[in-house]
Amino acid sequence: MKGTRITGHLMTEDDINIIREVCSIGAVQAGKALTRLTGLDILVEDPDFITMTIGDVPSLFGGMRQPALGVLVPYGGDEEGKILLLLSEEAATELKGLILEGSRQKSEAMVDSAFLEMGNILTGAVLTILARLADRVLVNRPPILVRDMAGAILDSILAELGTLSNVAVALVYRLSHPSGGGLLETVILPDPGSLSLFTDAAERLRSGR
Amino acid sequence: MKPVVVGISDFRIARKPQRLVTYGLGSCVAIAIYSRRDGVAGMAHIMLPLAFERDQVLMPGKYADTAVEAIMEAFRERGIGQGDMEAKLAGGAEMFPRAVEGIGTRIGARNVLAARSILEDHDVRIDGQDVGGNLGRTVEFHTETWEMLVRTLRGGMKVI
Repeated sequence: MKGTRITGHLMTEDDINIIREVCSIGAVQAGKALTRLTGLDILVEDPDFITMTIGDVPSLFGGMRQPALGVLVPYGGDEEGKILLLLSEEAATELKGLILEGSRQKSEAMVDSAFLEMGNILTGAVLTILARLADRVLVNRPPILVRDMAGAILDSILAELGTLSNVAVALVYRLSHPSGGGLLETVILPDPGSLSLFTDAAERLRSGR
Repeated sequence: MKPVVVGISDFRIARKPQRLVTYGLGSCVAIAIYSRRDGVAGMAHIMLPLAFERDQVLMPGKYADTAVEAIMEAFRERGIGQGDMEAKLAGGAEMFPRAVEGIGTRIGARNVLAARSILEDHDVRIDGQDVGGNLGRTVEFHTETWEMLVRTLRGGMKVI
């Protein structure tokens, strides 16, 4: 059977299509939650599900040394894991503008809090659907925000993935706003535990469980 | 002169007056090993401390132990003996200090410990280091001065 080996599981093209479908459902929910958060009409497009070698992941952000903003969302419950959401500095600045535009409060602390909430919303949308499909109870823990070089932020997840294989999976979400300049891209990177949930969910869907 | 860029999980060899560069180290560690006498240096951007099965490692630059061995082997292939080797280290940060779950726990500190240990096993003296903390680093190693320049986004530049 042809496919990509991810954390010990062989993921076929069909599995990837199933996961893409699952994440698309989450995107609609995330768009609604972000609209409530910002007070603006934000649309989250269907995400791209990309498999790539670990060394290629920083290229999604223009390279290892590019300034970026990361929100790490740990979760517990039936499984332990974490999901990293990363925005380039340009995307973070654009999003900050959107958040400030839609809010009555205008403080930096409020913007950081909104970034954390955005991390919760986008990763939460994925986790909720994964939990349902994989028949697990998953609970988001408080997210952590970091601003630094993209490569440095990515290390924490890539090192864990690197213990199992040289392959990483990235979900690329595009957010748009009717009055905005264009699409705003954000990337979600699951850790090995979360990837196992993806493969488990795909397997259950395929076998009709 | 263009720098020799070392990617993640990779290693490269450079000769005087070339410059080795690696970007965006978080918990990863840059290990630079050099011989002033022979005018040669090798640098790795390691991601993990130790390889479980050394013989089956496809990317020797990924682990501290296999990366150091690969650089020493590359030196031997160039007719460079093991004596008078020195090393400099940078990286090994904890980018998310509150993230306590999983294998990622203190991975930066474990990378640094493994690098020190394997260098000691090869009788390579550590001449300077800038490790730990919670900031990302970009590293340049200059074979003309044998200095390592360590840059952070907010903490400026350090020379070791």
